Amino acid sequence: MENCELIALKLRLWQMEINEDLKKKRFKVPVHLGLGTEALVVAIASVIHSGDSLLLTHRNAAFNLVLAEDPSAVVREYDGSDDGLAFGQLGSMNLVNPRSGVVYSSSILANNISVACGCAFGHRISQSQNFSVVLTGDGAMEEGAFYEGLVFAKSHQLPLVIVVDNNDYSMASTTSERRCEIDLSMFCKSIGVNYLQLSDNDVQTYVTVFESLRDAVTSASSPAVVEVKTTLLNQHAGPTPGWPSDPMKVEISHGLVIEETVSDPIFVLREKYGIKNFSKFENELGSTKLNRDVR
Amino acid sequence: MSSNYLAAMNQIISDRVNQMENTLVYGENLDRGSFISGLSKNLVSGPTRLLKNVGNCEYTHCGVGFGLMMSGKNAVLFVKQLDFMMLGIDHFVSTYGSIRATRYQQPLGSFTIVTAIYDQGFQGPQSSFRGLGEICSMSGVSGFMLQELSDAKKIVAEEISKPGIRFFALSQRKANEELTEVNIVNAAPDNSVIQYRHGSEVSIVCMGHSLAHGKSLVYLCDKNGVGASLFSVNYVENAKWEIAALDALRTKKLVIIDDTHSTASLSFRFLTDVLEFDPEVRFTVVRNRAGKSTAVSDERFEVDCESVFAWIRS
Repeated sequence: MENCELIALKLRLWQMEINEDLKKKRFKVPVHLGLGTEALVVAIASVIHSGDSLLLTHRNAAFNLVLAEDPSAVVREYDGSDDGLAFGQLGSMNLVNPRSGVVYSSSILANNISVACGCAFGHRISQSQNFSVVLTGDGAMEEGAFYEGLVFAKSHQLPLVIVVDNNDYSMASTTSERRCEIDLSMFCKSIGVNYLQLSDNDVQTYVTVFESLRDAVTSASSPAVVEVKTTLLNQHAGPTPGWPSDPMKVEISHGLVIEETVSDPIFVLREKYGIKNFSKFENELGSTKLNRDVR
Repeated sequence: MSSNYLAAMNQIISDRVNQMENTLVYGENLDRGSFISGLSKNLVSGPTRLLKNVGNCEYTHCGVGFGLMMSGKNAVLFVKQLDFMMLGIDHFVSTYGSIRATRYQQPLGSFTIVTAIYDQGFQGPQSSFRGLGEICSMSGVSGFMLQELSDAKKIVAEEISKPGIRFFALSQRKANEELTEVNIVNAAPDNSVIQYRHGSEVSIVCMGHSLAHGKSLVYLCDKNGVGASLFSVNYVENAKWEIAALDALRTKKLVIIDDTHSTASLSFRFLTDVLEFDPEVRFTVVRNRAGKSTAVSDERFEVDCESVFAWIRS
């Protein structure tokens, strides 16, 4: 198994561990897990180098777990501990870790795109080969700030990748329940921004794509948009079973696969390596569990 | 140095901006046309100082400034009028709040917004927002009024490169006025208070761009042999405004002049701080009681100095 794939497995395990804490209502802060987004998260994390800027949404738990030197510090942050990832100051929705490149997280939809443009302008001023990545979603696409941000990034040829995590939901409303269709590829085309879509949830493919994107964006100094179709396998904010009519029951004891479809990147891995080999990988993860002791 | 208010302010600001490195200087029509009513004239680019004419997306402009700031770079945003910054309130409150709660590895850069307060109503009701203090209050952003040559030189020199964000606000009504040099006799370390005169009988404290009215009142006091202290107050969170407050406690007579329409004005916070120490201090607050007009009008803020002086003498 490739290293990036092992990291995806670890991330699934860590998120499921935190999910167990959510079931017990351990945290006062609202935690937004990203079960089902592991391929995307691991791919982005793999291309963030020293000096790059990663700007996230309130659904930043998976990113911070993968990028932190000590992922258990994320749990301590949710506990409000002063040895948490952000010294107990930021909690969950605004959690950042500048040491790892996560410079900003915001729960205000599309708010982070303009901030990412500023970070990308900073790279331009430094004349560095760094770039910025900003996460946004299908809900944020409805905001005027989304449109403004893309136009601004293109107008100034900023080294910025805008990742639209399209999970179809804005809290309890699906896209079709709240708005007309937006053809993001056509919108990007209309302003001359490169666009591509990912949906097969293969970790290694995603890593390769983001490596190419990093090269393209930094060498051409021009923004790009990646729309990634994901299925969120947990509630909007809280433990599984999911929402709004999701019957899934996520239990660590059931193994790491949550949904036996390509919507689950861990299922995709299991299919790739076979159940027998996959079980071996799962069993080897025991030593990488989070330290979730309540102090 | 030109004595025309707008030209003088432009020269003070551009001289400083042109010395900044690792900086993005940006604004709508920054480098063409009227140069944002003259605000952005004389700016020059450098190896690490980019000048950018940008599109009409004020919300994004504010976010860009914060992004540069958290990257350790500097941003100077020129905005034609304060009203446009209402679109950035989300960033001032939420983004800046997050930044302040974060421990970055490198020092923050500076983010300065240079704008004019349209302190008249001829552009219509949507172009006469004077409540910079209200934006500052809800966000913790500092707001400095550039009123005279002396205070503008001091504030711009000391504040423009500081880590963090601040507004420099000019008065549109004063644009073509001739300026005279008024000496500063004292200032708070955070420039929340600038003192122009020291007197023994009354403390005159000016909020917003009302310093000219304060000067008129001081002139009347001088003419009648009444010693007056004169201050201008800027919005700075946790302001170190003791020099003005202690002066009021000493003279025991306080005149506050406030040209904003705000009912949540800095005036009241200052007054509360003074009265908390000595409820016997006599005070009067001269403010725009007519409220904000919803129609095109002069919206001139007038102070009846004779009446206020009569109160001082009473």
